[in-house]
Amino acid sequence: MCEPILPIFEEKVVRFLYIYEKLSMHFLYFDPGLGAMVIQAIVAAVAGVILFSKNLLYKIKIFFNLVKDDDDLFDDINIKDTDVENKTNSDK
Amino acid sequence: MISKEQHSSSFRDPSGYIFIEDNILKRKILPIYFKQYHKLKNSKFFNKLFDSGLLINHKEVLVSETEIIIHPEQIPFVTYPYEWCFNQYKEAALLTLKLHKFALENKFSLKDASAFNVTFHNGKAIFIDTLSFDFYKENTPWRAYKQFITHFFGPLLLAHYHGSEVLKLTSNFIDGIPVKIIASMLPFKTKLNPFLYSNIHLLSKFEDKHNEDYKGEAKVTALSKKGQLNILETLYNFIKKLDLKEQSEWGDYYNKTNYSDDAFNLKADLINGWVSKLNAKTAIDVGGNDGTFVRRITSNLDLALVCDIDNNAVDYNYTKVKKNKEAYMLPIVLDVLNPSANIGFNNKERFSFINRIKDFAPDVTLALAVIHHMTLSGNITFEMSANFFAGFSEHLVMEFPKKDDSWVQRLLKSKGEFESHFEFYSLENFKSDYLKYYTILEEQPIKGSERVLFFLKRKNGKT
Repeated sequence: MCEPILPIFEEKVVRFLYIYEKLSMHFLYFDPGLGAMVIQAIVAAVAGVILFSKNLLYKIKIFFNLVKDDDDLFDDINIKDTDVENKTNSDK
Repeated sequence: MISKEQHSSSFRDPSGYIFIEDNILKRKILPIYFKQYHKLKNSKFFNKLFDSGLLINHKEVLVSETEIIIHPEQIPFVTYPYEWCFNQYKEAALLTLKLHKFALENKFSLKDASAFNVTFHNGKAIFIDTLSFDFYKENTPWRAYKQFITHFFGPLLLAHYHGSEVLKLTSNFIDGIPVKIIASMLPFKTKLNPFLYSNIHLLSKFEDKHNEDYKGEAKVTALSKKGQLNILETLYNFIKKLDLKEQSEWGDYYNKTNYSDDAFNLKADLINGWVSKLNAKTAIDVGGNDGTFVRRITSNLDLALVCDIDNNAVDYNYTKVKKNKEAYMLPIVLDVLNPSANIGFNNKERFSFINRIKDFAPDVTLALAVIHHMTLSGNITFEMSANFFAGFSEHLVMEFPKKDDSWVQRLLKSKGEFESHFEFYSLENFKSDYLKYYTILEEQPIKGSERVLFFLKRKNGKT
């Protein structure tokens, strides 16, 4: 679908976003993958668009009162202050 | 074992290593990591991680100019990624993302996202590599991003599309499943999803393109912290919603067995009585399904390993463990006929299930309705299975289905003309072979069924 424009985009990102400072080689005891380091700018751009549209959708749902409380097994990514202070995250 | 020698599983990170001293696992930190360690400690970030239950707790026992020794909270039984059910795998992935985000907010970064840095303790996933944190350097990408994809996101995606059995692949790829393999195994429609396209397919292309840069000429692109947080949040939200296409049917498993309610309760009461009489603190149920019989044990167990070959059954059990906050129960995916092997460098990096269970030496083993599967499906003779069980536990609760049992009949019939080979499957032969290794403490036929429950004690010298 988006195949034809990607090589141009990729080249532009790689050309313009290069930084001339290498990562300190101190702790590179495993190969982080050069491709994986370069690609993260693109992945982040896609992620930004996804989050923006999801937030927009969420706001629309709130407006029309369509938001349901989900009963998930796992909580969200943020560590709450109460988790740190009261150890509520601990099962013991 | 008294030795300050580097543990054979701890050699990858030059920041330090673990060693065993007086049977206690400790961690030595080398000067190269002192700056990070002091900052993590003095900024109270370690304390925040302990209090939020994300990282295994530790106490400092020695500080000198050449080394720092810490004493981490001990984990009685470590499980590996290829022994986790789908939801355990998911939880470990979410924990890693959560940890990295929390680290970024506190000016640190998770430098290592290996799935082997996570295990299960007190009913939940916990990060066990204390030295996996480094300073966050502004505008640098996450150096463990690819590792996260190959260790966590890729295997979970494959499990979503191909079933939970795929998770076993991780035992063959100790450094994560290669991105190229992940990409090739995903259906075409994943290329149409921008999120999956960028995180898997495009990553695979980029890795291909850059993997011959032997001179290290290419430079790394800048990535703002906000950009990195966006990646983490989208990965977290996606993984959190990921499920298995194969739905678990184990909720009504016990309704499909050939037990009447009375026989079922009699069996549970007998097991509970025997285990309680032993005052057992540790147990393993080798074919524990969803943990029903372990849950009927009323004595206080510190740790019960509930194993099953079926990832869905283990998953069903794990969901219960989470909901009921059962910290003493550890569900494990285990194929008794093919337990996890020793793997990694020199075959000493990750230990076999047998090594670990022998070290753990549970007070009692439950083998309920497992023997007919081992004998008739696995061609394991009675003497071989007796030898196997006697290898790691002193007491054994064994349920023996007699030849007339409907499940035994079903297994025998499936053998066709080979059925005569299993003539030896009888209560008498079972007892005579098991008596070579065990003494019978109690023997109780379960009324209303074709099954007999044994309470056995290992003979001296038969380990």
